[in-house]
Amino acid sequence: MQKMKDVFTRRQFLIRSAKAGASVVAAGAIGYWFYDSRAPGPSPDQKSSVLLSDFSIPELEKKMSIVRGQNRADTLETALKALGGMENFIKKGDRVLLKVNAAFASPPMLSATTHPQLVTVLTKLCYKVGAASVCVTDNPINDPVSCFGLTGIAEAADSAGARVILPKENLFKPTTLPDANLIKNWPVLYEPFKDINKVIGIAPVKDHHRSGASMVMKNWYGLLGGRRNIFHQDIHNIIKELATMVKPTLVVLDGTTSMMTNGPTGGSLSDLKQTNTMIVGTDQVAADAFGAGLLDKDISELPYIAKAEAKGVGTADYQSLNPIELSI
Amino acid sequence: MHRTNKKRSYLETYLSLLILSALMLTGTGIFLMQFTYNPAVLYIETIGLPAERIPGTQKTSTGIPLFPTPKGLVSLSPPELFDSQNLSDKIDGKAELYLSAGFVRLQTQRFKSNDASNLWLEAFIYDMGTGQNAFSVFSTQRREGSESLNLTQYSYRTENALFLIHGHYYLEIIASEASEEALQPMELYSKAFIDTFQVETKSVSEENLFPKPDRVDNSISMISSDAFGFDRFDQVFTAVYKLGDAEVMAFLSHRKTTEEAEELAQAYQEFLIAFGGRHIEIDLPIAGAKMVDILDTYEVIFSKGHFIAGVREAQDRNHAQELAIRLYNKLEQNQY
Repeated sequence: MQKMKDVFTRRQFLIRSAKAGASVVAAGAIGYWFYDSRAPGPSPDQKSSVLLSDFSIPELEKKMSIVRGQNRADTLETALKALGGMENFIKKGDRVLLKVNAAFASPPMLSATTHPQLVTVLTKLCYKVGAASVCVTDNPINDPVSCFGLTGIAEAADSAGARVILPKENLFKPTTLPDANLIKNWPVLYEPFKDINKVIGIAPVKDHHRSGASMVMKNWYGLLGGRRNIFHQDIHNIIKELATMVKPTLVVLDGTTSMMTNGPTGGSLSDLKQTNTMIVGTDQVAADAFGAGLLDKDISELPYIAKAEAKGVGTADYQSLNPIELSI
Repeated sequence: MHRTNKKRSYLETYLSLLILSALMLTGTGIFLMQFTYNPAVLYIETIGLPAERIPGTQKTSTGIPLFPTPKGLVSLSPPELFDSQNLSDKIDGKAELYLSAGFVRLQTQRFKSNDASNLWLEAFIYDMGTGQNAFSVFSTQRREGSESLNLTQYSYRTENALFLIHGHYYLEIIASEASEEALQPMELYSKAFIDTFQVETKSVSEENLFPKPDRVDNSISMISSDAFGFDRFDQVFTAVYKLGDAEVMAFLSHRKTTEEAEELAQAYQEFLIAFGGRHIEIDLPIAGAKMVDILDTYEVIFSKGHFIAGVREAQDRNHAQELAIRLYNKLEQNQY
């Protein structure tokens, strides 16, 4: 009789199974109850998501100039003159921000970063036409002090009277772009943009292992904070979104020396080619479309160009802007 | 009584099925939900911080150099360590190249020559896990027109930089100037590294499987993954040949079994056809060899023992056939 009692009956098994199942379902239901498919909201001190202002000059038509020559200072000045001079873009009292590419702590000769000579020339030209202040910023890949120092950008800025803004923690604010898939409540180097009214992007022409090229639009990547390397998995879309986020006054694409291989870091002079071209304009898509040719690439090899164009950022058909082409 | 028991038995069966179904449904739900990736979880604690301030992406300064600073150099910065999680904090988009080749860790440090010059250099020591992985990143980045060195079997310099493989390490030393003066500290550093680390060094065995005549010097490369855009192609060795005025590429890759090599050869051929290639009838003395015309170039694909091999990007059909036969014969000589 005792033996019979110890037997685990089918009924008991089912009851226990039902209880176990109910527990699992309940645990799953509780998990589902807590699951939130949306991104967590900002913390109390970050409630206000910011958006960068539009720094373009609406009354100006899209313009572009392409100047061929070996000397950066000369080609840059000539390219600006061809567009009516710096006074066409910077007015008396303007507060200007130069967004450079200071990504790596490498010497200027490797062309992995914005050449310091361009920082000097642009700063001086801005002051010459009456700018009230000129600042220089970037959030580099390597440590910022070494990057600004070893690239020569800090010294160039300092000698021309521009102030370098290092990407300190408190300068980042969460940004959510309308219709964006990636830049949602993401930290962006916002503070340097807060009190300025003109932005000039200055980028070198480089090969890039992930995106195919790093030029004007990819240069805005240096405004992102946080664990931005996760965006490398969707590099073309993040570049597109960055291009929609920043509406610069002017862009400068330096193709004097282009990094043809092993980008974006390069490392050897043999990665470089003298392409002797300076591109200045107000259309960042057009500038990059032209730059693709300097890298011996077709724009179809750089999908972010078509994506940015489709978003209305600019035109990939740079010829439609009737660019002024000069050689010096 | 018997009927009641039977009824109960049916009821219990249905109940069992219901419970099991519920359990399976719950399990499936959990399984599917765990694929829903929410990047916000990653950054919620780091919002507002630049990359270098974020745990996990922080550059770790050990304060201990990997080996003593060579005489004649003074350190300009502390050593920095990077792993697979934060490699891109140092080399940005190029990280993928290393990660796909088996990267383990990177140590970097900047040095200065202890003379009065402004020359500085930065050493990048990549631990790639194996010599073959190191060869992959070394060979795919090899600079044209560089000068071979005798420091190790695989070493060369350019105007401002020095690159070498030592065992499973890949070294890059970049100088801030392009000059003969820059070479001396770069060599100094390299020799100190080689002397300090007595590691096993091996030749890349596949090197001997490419026929030597007409082979372009230093053209052998190893592609770790997604070779030629085909996601099943990994560990593929390539060599460039100069046939007449044209350059043609030969390739080979060792597989675990003969069957795998045969199957992969067939799959690669189908991949080319799927992307617009056209099968060409050929009569080659290579069993199972296939030729595909794609984008006005010719490719030959075959397998020999454990190897899948072939020729690609030949402008001339005869060049493709000629090089394929030479490669096949070489594999046969080596008894594969």
